Amino acid sequence: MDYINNYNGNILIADLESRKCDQEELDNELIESSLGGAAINLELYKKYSSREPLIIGTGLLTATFCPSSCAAVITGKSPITGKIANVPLTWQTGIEFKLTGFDFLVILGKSAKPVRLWIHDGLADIEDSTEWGKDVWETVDCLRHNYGDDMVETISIGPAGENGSSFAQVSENYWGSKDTFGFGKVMGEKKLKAVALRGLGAFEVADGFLDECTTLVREIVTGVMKGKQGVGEIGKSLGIRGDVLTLTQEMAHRNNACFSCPFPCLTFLKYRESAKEMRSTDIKEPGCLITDLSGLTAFGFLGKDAPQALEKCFRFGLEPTASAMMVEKAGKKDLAGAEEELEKLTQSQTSLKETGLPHFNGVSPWPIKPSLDNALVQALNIFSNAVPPQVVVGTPKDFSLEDSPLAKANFWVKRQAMAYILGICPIFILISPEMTEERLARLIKLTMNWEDFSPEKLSQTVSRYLSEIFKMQEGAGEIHPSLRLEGLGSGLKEMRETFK
Amino acid sequence: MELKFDSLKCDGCRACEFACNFHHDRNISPIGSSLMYYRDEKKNYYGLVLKREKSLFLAKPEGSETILPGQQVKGGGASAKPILLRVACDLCKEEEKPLCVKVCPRDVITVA
Repeated sequence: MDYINNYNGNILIADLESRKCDQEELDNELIESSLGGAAINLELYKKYSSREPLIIGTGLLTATFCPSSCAAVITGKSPITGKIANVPLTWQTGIEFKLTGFDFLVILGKSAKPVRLWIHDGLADIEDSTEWGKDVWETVDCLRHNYGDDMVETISIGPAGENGSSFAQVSENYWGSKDTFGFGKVMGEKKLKAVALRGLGAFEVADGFLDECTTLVREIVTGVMKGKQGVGEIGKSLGIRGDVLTLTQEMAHRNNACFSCPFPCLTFLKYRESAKEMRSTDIKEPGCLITDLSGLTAFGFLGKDAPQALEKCFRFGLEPTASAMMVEKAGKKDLAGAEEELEKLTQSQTSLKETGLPHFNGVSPWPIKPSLDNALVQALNIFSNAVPPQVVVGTPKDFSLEDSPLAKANFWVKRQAMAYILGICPIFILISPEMTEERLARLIKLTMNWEDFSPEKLSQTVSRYLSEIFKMQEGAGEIHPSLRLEGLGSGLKEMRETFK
Repeated sequence: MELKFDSLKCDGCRACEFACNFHHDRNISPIGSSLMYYRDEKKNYYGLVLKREKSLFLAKPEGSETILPGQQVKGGGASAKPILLRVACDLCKEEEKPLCVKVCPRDVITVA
């Protein structure tokens, strides 16, 4: 392909059935029309739809100096909703993938026996999986030991995915993921235990791009989020239960940021040694990184043991919020009982829909006070429901939002689409009002050398993507009676009209 | 003049590592950087290693440490190995200030 900034120009096709990897060129025209991430994933999904594709794609800005440009996106047909859905990969996974030399990965078909996919230095191999049968933590340890590098990033499944459980999710390294759509089950059905990534490649950005991004970062850190960090800040703005908020303070060790993110929202909670311990001690597994606030909150009924129940979900490769609802329904009130129930869930073929518990087309709701705007976005089931369903840390006012549920929901869905297309963290884009369409369009124009690129063009690309995906979602949307707020049905209809 | 690190402020976003590489190679990559993020992930133990002309500087959470030639590096794990092959920090001599200092959103790195 002609030289282009921000991308390697390569699509990796991994056919699990034939155990062959192939490479396609990433077409410049496709980049110009769809930009990247979820929008290009959708085009690839359509192209390979007969082969049950699972796509992983990076955004136009993934792994650049753009604030929070950490994200990649998994796109596929959700076994939970029966429709196409998107899940973000954050922290270091998205950047590691792009630096392997590939921008997109299309996983086709099913393997006859358990395999893993090893992608590094512009190469890809489908190998026998010796990790099948192990939990997620053991799997990550084995893969890193096998490849001799602690910086290998992994996307894997645990026993839940292997067994085809309805509660399975994919995991990024040790700490679960934002997979609320059952892609862990899809990987299990494909007999794909793990995708291991090591990226030591390189790609170009335009001159001046770093300076432009640095200016934006300075505005962000002195803006709404000034002086704030950690998962507790997000919890406060969502109004999560107070005892869980207290845990996030009392057990808090250090906060972690995703790649190039000014807001470190990943708080590590230590419960097997003092949270004040900063040295590396003999305690090998002192706690858990809180990547899923919804899951932690849903386990709130276990009190101080909530983080350990979350850890167990991560080890088993279970989606924590739905799993917590099942544990609570089973009447388990302590950690031992919860762990026993979670183990059962790794085998469960029963879905949330069938249990009678609240759900949005099979997907668990956020354990927060329901409102029309947050119900509207959760009922869509296009983007991960593990992302907060509203603006966080700041307020809607910081984003100059109208005080109407529909305006807030439309804003959320457009912001999410933009993040998933460009490769920006979908949580950070709900924190930072400084990341305007104007600023993002300016960064794109600069680094891609597209003279006529404008905020309007960015907006049109996002709306076109939403219009298409809304059409593909038609017919979806079974909502549990307890979540059918007044105005939800008409609101969803109006949202679809907005992006037509 | 040298780089100073306030390690506990660091949240591991790696912007500094990539900015350093950009100074050396004018592209996006971690491979040519004089500065490297290392971690023991399950322990949430992480820090930065800086390749200086005649030593390695470890900005560890419990305090800093300078490693001289012949000394054993502890605590970096396998992720810290490739730093020995990198070019040394030149404090971004053509720049107004080192790029790692410029991009760090938490002001972890200063020049003193």
